Amino acid sequence: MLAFRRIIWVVVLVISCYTATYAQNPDTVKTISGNYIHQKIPDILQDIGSRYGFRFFFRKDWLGSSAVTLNADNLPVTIFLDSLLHPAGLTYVFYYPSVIIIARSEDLAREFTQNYFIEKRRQQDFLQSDKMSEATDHIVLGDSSQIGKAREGLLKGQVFDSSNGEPLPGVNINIESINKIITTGPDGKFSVQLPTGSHFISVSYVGYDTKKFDLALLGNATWNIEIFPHAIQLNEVKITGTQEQSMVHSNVAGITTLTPKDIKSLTMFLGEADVIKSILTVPGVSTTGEGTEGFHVRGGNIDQNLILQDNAILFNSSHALGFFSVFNPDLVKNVTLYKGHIPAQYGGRISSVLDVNLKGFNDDKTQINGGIGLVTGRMSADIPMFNHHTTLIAGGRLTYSDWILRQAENPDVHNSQASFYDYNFKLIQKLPHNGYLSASAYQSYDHLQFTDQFGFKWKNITYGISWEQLFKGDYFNKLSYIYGGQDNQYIKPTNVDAYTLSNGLNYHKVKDELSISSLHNHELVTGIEGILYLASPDVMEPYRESSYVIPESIRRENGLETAVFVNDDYTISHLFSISAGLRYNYFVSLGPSTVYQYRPGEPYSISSGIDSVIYGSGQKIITYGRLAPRFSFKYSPTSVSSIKASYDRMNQFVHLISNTIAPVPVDLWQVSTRYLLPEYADNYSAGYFRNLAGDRWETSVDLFYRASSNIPLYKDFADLKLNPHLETEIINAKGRSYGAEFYIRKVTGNPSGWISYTYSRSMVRSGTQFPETTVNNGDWFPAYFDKPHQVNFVFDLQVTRGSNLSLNYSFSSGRPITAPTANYFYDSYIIPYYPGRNNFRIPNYSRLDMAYTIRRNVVRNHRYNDSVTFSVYNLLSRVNAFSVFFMRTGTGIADAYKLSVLGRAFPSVTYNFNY
Amino acid sequence: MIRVSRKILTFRKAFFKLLLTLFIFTLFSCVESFNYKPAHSEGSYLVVSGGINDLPEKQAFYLSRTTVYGTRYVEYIQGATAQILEYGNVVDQCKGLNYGGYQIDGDKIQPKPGRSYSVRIQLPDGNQYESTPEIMPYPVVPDSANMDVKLDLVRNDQGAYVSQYNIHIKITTSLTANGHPAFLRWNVPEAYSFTELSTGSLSYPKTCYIQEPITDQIIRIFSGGDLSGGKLVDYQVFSRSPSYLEFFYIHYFIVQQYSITRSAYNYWNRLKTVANPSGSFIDTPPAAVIGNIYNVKDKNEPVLGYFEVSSLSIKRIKATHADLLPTTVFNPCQIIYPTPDYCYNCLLLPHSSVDRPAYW
Repeated sequence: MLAFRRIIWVVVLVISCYTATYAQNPDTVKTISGNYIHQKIPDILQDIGSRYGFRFFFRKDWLGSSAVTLNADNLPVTIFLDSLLHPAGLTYVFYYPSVIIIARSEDLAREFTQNYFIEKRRQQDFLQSDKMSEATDHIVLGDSSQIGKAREGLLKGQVFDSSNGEPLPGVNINIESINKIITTGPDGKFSVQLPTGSHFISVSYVGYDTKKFDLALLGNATWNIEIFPHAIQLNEVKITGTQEQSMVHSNVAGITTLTPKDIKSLTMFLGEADVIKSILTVPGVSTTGEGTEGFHVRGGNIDQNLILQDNAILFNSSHALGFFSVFNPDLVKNVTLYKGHIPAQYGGRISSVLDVNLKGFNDDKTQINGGIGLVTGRMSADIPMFNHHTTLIAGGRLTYSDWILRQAENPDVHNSQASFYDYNFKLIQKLPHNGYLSASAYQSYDHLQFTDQFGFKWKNITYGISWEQLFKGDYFNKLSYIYGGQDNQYIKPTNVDAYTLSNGLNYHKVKDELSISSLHNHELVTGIEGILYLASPDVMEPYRESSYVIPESIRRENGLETAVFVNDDYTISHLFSISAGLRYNYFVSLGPSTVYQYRPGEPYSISSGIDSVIYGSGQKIITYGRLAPRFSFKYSPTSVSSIKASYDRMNQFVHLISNTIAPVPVDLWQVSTRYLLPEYADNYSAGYFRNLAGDRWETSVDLFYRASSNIPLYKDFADLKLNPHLETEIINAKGRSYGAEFYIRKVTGNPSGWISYTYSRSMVRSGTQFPETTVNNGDWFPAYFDKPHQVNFVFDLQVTRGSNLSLNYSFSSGRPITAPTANYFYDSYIIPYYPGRNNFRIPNYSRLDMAYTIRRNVVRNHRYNDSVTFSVYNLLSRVNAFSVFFMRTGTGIADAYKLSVLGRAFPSVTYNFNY
Repeated sequence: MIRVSRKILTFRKAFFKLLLTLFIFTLFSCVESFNYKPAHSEGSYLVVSGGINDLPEKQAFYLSRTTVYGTRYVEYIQGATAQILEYGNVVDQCKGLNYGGYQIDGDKIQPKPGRSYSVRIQLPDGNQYESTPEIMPYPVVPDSANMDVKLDLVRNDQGAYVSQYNIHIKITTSLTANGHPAFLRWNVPEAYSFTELSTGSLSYPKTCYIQEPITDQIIRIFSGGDLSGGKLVDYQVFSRSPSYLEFFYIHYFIVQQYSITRSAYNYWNRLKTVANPSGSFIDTPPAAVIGNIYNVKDKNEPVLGYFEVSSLSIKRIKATHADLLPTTVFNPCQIIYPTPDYCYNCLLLPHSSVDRPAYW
């Protein structure tokens, strides 16, 4: 904190010399040219510095990692810098003709000492040297009171290992400006007398990345340096939010950021790094149970999450019934989960957006990643081609579990089958004028067969092309077309009624998104989006020749969802910023379809049907127009705290139709119809965020509330199979969810990790005048995934330079199930009587995982790196209940049984490598 | 070099075993008993069990009430009046029996397939109930019913898989009833004879005939609704393990094949959902299974059970210990010590009688 204040003072003082410096003919007459497409400000500054001979001093955390798009054509440097820095709340001063110091706008307003720049810097020659282009960190050190007085300063400090915070002895500190090398002592400390002014310093140590600094020394100063082990990149996924700075500084609420180190520390089932499983450690995100599809965000159902992979919609996020996600972790560039405020460029689901971006253009070196675990293997390559103007990205995963299943003694397992694969291809071509053209293909496939009882097959496909282009005037446009969808098949393989039942939903999606970043303190995004949903008919066919099943098919409605949107992130001052957006959705339900008419004033049923209307292909059945305003604001009373709140109206026009204990991968996706109404929700969120101990700790409290309508609820024993009038089985219900998330995280140092507690409720209500459509007497009752209490604890300890130990603990309340309160006899059977829905909670869930990773070849400059991870999932062998069910076994009474999916510890070994 | 290769091979084997062991670990989900304490029950509801079929014999249905979960106690309803209706006209006044039974007098009515039947019930408290009228389906007579004995892999009490001989009852039957899709349900009660040991007295040892109640809780139904006719061939409708007592003399499997209505099939299918769940994610959520009975004055009152209107066809499979080869069945009276009392008085066996059934 003291160091931070000191730097603030220095910057203030430096800025105070603006007038004087300006009088010394700074390089303000230089003009800048260059096109920067979604680049980070430090990268742009580095480029400008190397091309035009400027040196920039700044604190990295002020600049953040926000991407900026800027097009300059012989622009005066002052205008260029205004355009670049002002939207980020920054400003600058010329310190010397070619030296520019960047600071936060609010700091400029402070009083400063006028005399600072009277003492001219004596290292002008060095300022002009080519070393500056190599420098990575620009820092200013020293006491402002020494400015103009001291000709020399005592620089002392300590060098630490960033991974575990331990001091490092024998580290070489090369002060190149005076050709002097010093070495840290046994306690990592160093001390050196240096002339005040600018120094180029490199810090090197065997097994660690060399770190270079461009230092402006003002006088005596203390400087603690952290250097990073030359660690290999594991196959973990880096999850970032819209920014890499702390939650305090992000503009909107409800975007959670996990660092690569966080993810690396997570132990997953069978040792596989997994995007979805990583997200489950985030407060407010939960799952129904082990071995189930999807995830729930802040009390939303799994179909209320928009899942995007490179802008393509994925209807199914899981392999192998949720044990693995469909994302290849080696190919993922970043993942953003919007669970609070959702910018207007996203729409179509009412709960959250999971935006997964795959790797992009690579003009560097070929990279190969891979890994092998107990049941899966994967390999991917990222290859620059044609003079680095083209990048080919390819990767695939597959499981080889079938042959192992054959070894099992259990006949059910022996005769079962479980396999999956997925692959990605992506080709990116750099265009001559600041543009990129890319084409991509993705497919995932699963086959699960449980003995001769049932089988599932499901697959996702996406094929897309996109064109990204920077136009003059800082207009960045992204136009994309995607064809995608999913196909499912349920198989009943035996007897004369053996059959397959297939369904699917495909789509054509076109989206054009224009980002304008040159407006003062505004980041404007606007665009249009259109999605044409084409439903495959539900088709039932005999599975084999001996089957007598009559082939049958049912046409489902198609739909066209269009949207126009605009979103503006506006930084009003360093205290206030807002994000406001508006999205207008227009949905058309399209034929072919037979729409049944029902007697007015009666619930939809076969008996109340009076007529039907046949709509031809493409014929309009009904339209829905919905406005979706979005608003979020941030108030930052201090630099380490902020208050945020948001309101979002969300609409949803596709729905997962499922009436099993938990959704299965072959469930039907259905667009909105005349009777299956669009879901909509009003999402409210408010939170307080505060960093502690010099940003080493992040804390937050986040509250949320969602009121939703037209949530599909099912009548008892709803018959959804080949049902041409689903509306007779579905109830449009009300929903509400609310809760609070408490989060504390140690961001830096060793050990690191976080703990979170979430209180979350998800309730449903259907109360009508008709008993057929009234559930639980019309009272609010908990949804099947309602888990009020959830605790996550992630702990990561760097044991040695090449190894780390991690623990992951999860606790959640038991979910509600429907349980009997009475028995009765019918025929020779004892039947349990179920009075209502979700009236009993299964036992709480608790699980501790542990992983130990050993990295080899941590020596620098080795391109081939590998690691072995030993992990134990459910270390304490806790028999967690997935469900409690009631069945008579011969004693006469329907006894209660607890089903546990993974009721013991699961050790695993995973080998990962990259090149 | 050779040593290194052997090491590699050894390592590979060990690694393979590790893979196998670890993965097989993952394949076993776990089901264990759970101590469930139900919430309080909100009253008790009427349950109607049974129905009417086309056989010209006395039939009965039963009235009872729901009881608290976990109890075996049945609250039978005595003193009610019940009438059988054919096309809405009363054709029989049922006679009250013990244990909530109400007998349909086969002498007064002769139910016929293709005709509509229902029941009207008035409870002692005055509440009146009726069933939705149903057309009696046409019978589907099985082509054949047979038995085989096969070695199955079953899980024992310790959780290990062991081989065990089981008797399988299979049926071959048409899936149409009078040209329409058939909806079938099976019950397989059993009967056996047992001859007691000679006591050396002047009286001959008795032979008893034991009608075993159905204890199997697996609901066996089949729908021909989505099929283009056809046959079920060797379709298993029952299985059990052999026992000495029941198979030493003569044993009958009585395969009762009910031809039921589509509505009744749907009801049984829902009962199957709540009575035979797997506990996994693929189960349909359970709920109260409401049948075709309703309170005439309050249709919102939950009434459980179903008054089934069906046609019944019966096939009997006779088996002796010779039919159970390769299993061996001994006379329990010769191998159990001390000799059970029923060996000297077979009427001590539950549900036994010296009256020889007509089909024997």
